Amino acid sequence: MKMTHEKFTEELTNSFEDSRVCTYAVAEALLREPVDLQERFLILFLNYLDRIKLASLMPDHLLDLSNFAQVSWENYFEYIGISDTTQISKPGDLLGLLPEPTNSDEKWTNIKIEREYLPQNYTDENALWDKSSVLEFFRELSSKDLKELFDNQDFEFNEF
Amino acid sequence: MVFPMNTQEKRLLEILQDNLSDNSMFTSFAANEISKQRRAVQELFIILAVSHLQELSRLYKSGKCPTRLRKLAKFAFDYEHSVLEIAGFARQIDPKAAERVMEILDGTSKKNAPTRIIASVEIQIQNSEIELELEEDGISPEEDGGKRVKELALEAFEYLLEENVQSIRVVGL
Repeated sequence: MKMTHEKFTEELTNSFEDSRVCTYAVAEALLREPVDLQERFLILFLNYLDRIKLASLMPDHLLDLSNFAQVSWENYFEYIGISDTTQISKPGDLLGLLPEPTNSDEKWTNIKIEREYLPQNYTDENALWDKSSVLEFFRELSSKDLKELFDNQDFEFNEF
Repeated sequence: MVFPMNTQEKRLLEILQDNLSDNSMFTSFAANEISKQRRAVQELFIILAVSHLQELSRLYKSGKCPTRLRKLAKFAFDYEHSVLEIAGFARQIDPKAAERVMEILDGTSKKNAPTRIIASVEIQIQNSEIELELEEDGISPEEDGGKRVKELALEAFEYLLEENVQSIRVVGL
């Protein structure tokens, strides 16, 4: 279905305002989309950040978002050679600017301690749950479990 | 594993698919329109984009990134290091995800959903940094046998766990 950019933004806004939409679920799903589509989504994000960065006149309540955009451009996009959005105006432009990964690229080691929980194992119908107590519950639980894994030096290593 | 989305989330994905696969759509115009929306909408757009970048970076760091995504995933990993970590953008439970977990905990949701909570601390170290340190100390990588990396990890994890700054994310919504 063909959409104008106004229609697209209107639908996007309606979606974001719907309390049943969790953006994390959609971000997970985006990862399974074709690379061209993911590139265009990132181009949209870069264009948006460019639009709101500090150079523009910004109301006070949006200054923190503006700062974030400014830091993104100065510390990263400009650093990797994207000086302005005209360089990424067409599909494929961003992918064209990024270097092809090679075997001689700098290697890194990722080290992590991880613990997974199934929330259904912790159901308590008598407790009074709210969004912050949910986070607090898993923070406390995982603090203890991660510390135990740390004490046993149960680390996962992988090179990438 | 493909995680189920609800109808409203599927619709959001469709909106993105329709727009982003249309080459006549000018992303700069669309970006301009988003920047005119109220703050909450703009925040959610940023969260969506940052979450997508964090997912790409996670794939890259796993060492199992499919070739087709390697360029974008490396871009995301470098962005995470250069911007997100400095801005304190650690991935945490977002309010709507917390709400769904809450429904499981209080028994409102009886569905046997594949929702999981993943708590983790992790660090990444450049291999060349370790090699340089070992060289300065006159130790060969064979002699070291991975001890230096472990020492660095112990030090970093001790701090992260003391500060309780583990990442807590919800997956499989």
